[in-house]
Amino acid sequence: MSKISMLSFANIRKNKGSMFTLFIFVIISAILLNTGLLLFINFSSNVDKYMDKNKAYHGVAIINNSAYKAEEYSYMKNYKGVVQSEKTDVLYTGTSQVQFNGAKVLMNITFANRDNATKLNIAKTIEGAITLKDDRVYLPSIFEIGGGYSIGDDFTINLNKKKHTLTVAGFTDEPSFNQMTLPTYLVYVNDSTYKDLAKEYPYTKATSIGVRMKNSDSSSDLTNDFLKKFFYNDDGTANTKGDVIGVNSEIYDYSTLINGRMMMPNVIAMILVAFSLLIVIVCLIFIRFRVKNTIEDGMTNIGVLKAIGYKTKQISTSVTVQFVVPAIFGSIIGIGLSYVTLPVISKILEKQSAITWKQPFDLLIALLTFAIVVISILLVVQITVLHVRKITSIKALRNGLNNHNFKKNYFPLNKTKGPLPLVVALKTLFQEKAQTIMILIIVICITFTSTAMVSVYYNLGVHTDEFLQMVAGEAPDVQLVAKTTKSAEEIMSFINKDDRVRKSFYNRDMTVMANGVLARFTGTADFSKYEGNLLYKGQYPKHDNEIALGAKLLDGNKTKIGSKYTLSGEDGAKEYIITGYIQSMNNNGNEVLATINGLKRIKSNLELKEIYIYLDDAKDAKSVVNTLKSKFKADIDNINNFVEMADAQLSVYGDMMLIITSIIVAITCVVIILVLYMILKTSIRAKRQKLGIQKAFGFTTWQLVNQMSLTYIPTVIVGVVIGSILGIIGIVPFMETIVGTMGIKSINMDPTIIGTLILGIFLILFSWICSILVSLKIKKISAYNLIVE
Amino acid sequence: MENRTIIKTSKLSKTFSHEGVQQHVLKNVDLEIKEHEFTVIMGSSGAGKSTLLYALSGMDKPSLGQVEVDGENIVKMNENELAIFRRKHCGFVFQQIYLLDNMSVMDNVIVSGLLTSKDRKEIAKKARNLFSKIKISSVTWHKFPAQISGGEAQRAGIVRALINEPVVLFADEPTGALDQESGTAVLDILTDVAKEGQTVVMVTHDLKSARRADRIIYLKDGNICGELRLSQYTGENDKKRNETLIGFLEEMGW
Repeated sequence: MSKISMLSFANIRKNKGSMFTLFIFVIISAILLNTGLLLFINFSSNVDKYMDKNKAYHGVAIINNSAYKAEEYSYMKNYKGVVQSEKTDVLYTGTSQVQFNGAKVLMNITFANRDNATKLNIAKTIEGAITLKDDRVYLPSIFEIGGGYSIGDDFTINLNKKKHTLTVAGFTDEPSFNQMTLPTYLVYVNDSTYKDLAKEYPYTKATSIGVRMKNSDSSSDLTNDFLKKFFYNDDGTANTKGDVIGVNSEIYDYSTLINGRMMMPNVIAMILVAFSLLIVIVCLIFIRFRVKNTIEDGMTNIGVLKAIGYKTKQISTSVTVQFVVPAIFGSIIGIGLSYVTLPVISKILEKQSAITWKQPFDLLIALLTFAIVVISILLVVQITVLHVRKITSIKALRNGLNNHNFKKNYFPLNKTKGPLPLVVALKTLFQEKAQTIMILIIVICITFTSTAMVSVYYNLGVHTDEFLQMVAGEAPDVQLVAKTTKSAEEIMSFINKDDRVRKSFYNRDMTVMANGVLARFTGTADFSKYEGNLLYKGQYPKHDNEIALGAKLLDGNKTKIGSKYTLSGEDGAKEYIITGYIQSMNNNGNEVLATINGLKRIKSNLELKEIYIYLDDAKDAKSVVNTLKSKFKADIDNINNFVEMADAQLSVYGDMMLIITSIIVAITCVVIILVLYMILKTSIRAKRQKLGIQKAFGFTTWQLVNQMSLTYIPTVIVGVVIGSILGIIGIVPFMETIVGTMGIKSINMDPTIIGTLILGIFLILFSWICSILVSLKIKKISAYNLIVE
Repeated sequence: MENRTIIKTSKLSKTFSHEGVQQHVLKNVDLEIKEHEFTVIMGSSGAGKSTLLYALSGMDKPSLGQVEVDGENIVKMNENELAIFRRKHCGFVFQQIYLLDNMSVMDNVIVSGLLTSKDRKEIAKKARNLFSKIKISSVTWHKFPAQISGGEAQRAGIVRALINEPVVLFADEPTGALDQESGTAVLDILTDVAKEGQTVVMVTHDLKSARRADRIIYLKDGNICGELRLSQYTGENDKKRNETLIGFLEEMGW
């Protein structure tokens, strides 16, 4: 063994406890970082691989046979870049309310014949081993993971105003539509059931055209060209009367199919990467403290080594090796353990993606994690050991240098009131500034993350209004579509007299051709009634010729606020002025807003039948729906309890975020334990004699335990308070950074003050209990031993 | 009238174990110390002097036997009871001084005083009086231990030991780490406080220190093997006192 190794390993042996703590810290950092990086870099390619393996559609159109034209298939089949295509018969039922996660949710259920062999969009089935009736249905696995369905349950949909019930016989891993963010779900039935359904509901007969392309990125060109070719005239005006898409046709490109599966995984990946980097920083701060401590503790040894002829570089290297060796082993173990945690993360993500993520060992990401952790530790150690150079042999032998050079008498005891252990603790707190600052920074960092995460969970799982509006645009409590404009007016008049109703207004959306692509064109009379956070720049349209554009439609200088922009619809092309920009995850960001009269410029016969209803108390949504249903049964085409639907779908996000938040809070607690354990242990060791003297002249163990604990708890309290405030202030920019890549530029999120308070109090109490438990070590040592040692 | 007994031990024994080897440091020590007495414990290195001192003061527990201080049996006390006992009954002066290095000289005294009283002003007043009596200037009060001399630090240590008006002042080789001049000053203070009625028990192997005592107890291999009373020799009898002490120590094999 070399001289340097001898010195390093002797030090590691001497400081086993602190080295172990450091080791655990590095392991946690490496686990989080490797998991975050794998998720961030590999999850999307894993989804791609899954989609490729199951030959998911790159482009798909489901068109009711009443509208379907044979040339539509040949157009898709022969489109540039298409390598495989398939035409299958399906039953497209249109929008129907389906029970999902305890609520009725709007879905476009499409039946496919399970006994038809298909080349594309291969769906494997997991069947139940129970005796079932003939009317069996095989649902996408998201119904099992997020929807609360089990084999043997009833699956009921409304078809032609009648309830039709099938028995769930199994679940499929159907690759294209198996997710919560698209309205369409492909469910499979046996040949006989399929034929029965087709016979009973002939109007649902439809054709599904699916293709795979050489490059899936071209699929948006394909779907856009397809729409322009068959749904719009050459001048951009719609060639069919009425809004076809979403009523009797569905057309999706690959990015739409895949983006829905990627939203939450992306959010979680960003959170994990951000948190892991924070933990790496905490680890580095901690290592710096340990290195300084090691040098101070070993000052005499350094003096002896220098005296007998060791060079400064050799001594510095021995200290570096002492810290880098656990960093190397900790990183390797952490990287290994991250593969144990991946199935847990995969299980969480499955709730939205419905894809089991099996990640093989990734050497490149492992090396990246290893490099980030080890190199940053190496750098910090190197920088910290620099001051060994300044220590002369004689200074070190005198155990001196800057060792506790007290200058200011903080809190003089004859003048400071308060309990003795607290005042003595405060003196130490101010005298050990470097340590206090280190604890403060660490506590601020981890409290900030935990607080932000609690608020994220609160917004995704408890108070979901803002998040709902972020992902779904404007979201009323109840949405109603009347059969005629006249009945809509009657209903509106009735609604406005209802005490439970806060406000209501007409809303209307339709498709429009915007700069060569199809966009959703939504209008209302007065946008000041909108509650969603759609507008992120400029202002909502007020006049007939004004529009606000979605992020996907922006095109540099051409779409500056104040510029002119052409939209084409049923009545031809019209010019509008851009007044603002809107953000929406709907329709991939292809969104346009205008006033009702603005919409009428390109569709003069626009009818106002859709009403958005907002209630004083969202809990009344069900009773309001019931009231309207009983009063206007014959006049209502469709009524939806958005509160219930949102709860059902968002609770899945809430569940996912609850797990991630719990993991982060748990790691925060572990970090607190490690930091306090290490600092208190080091401190008790360094202050053994001081504590002994205090015990000798009559301090009780409990007083000393309190004194030790109180030396750190005020810093923890300040850290928790600052971290919590930053968490409250920072939740919006934090989430904006995370969801910014998804087209969300500005978000409204309410921090949870109560949640933050509870978490803050918990962290303080937890830290206090930990510090008391660690400080109890003092109990084992007698005053006599403390002095004579 | 004879002074009352302030410390009484009965068959006091202390055994240390290290890697299975037992070392009997104190063996059945029976001892009585009277109030207002200045007692010095002497003996060769390893005789058990400091062990006896710490057993008498409740700093360490004996392996066997009883120790009564001011009428209280301290052997039966737990750690907390001993701590409370020490703050009320004992003052300590150590060879290594052991001032708390992160506190000013004044705070070192007050931190001890606050254990028995909450009246900060009263404690500070008492501390100032003791400082001036022991001739520590007000400039020194606000300095940290590292900024003052060893002699000053030890005198501050004595003030700390006296702040709670202890029943017994225990001193463990208080001049051991000091130069001659500082050592003499410290001894003068201890002698003065003893004369004022303070019971003092001091461990030393320094002849000059021992000369100040009313009573010498000599320890050898954990047993009291001799005892000498010097209280009858005062003032003009210094020479006689010295000769008697040297004779005693020679007899003890010192």
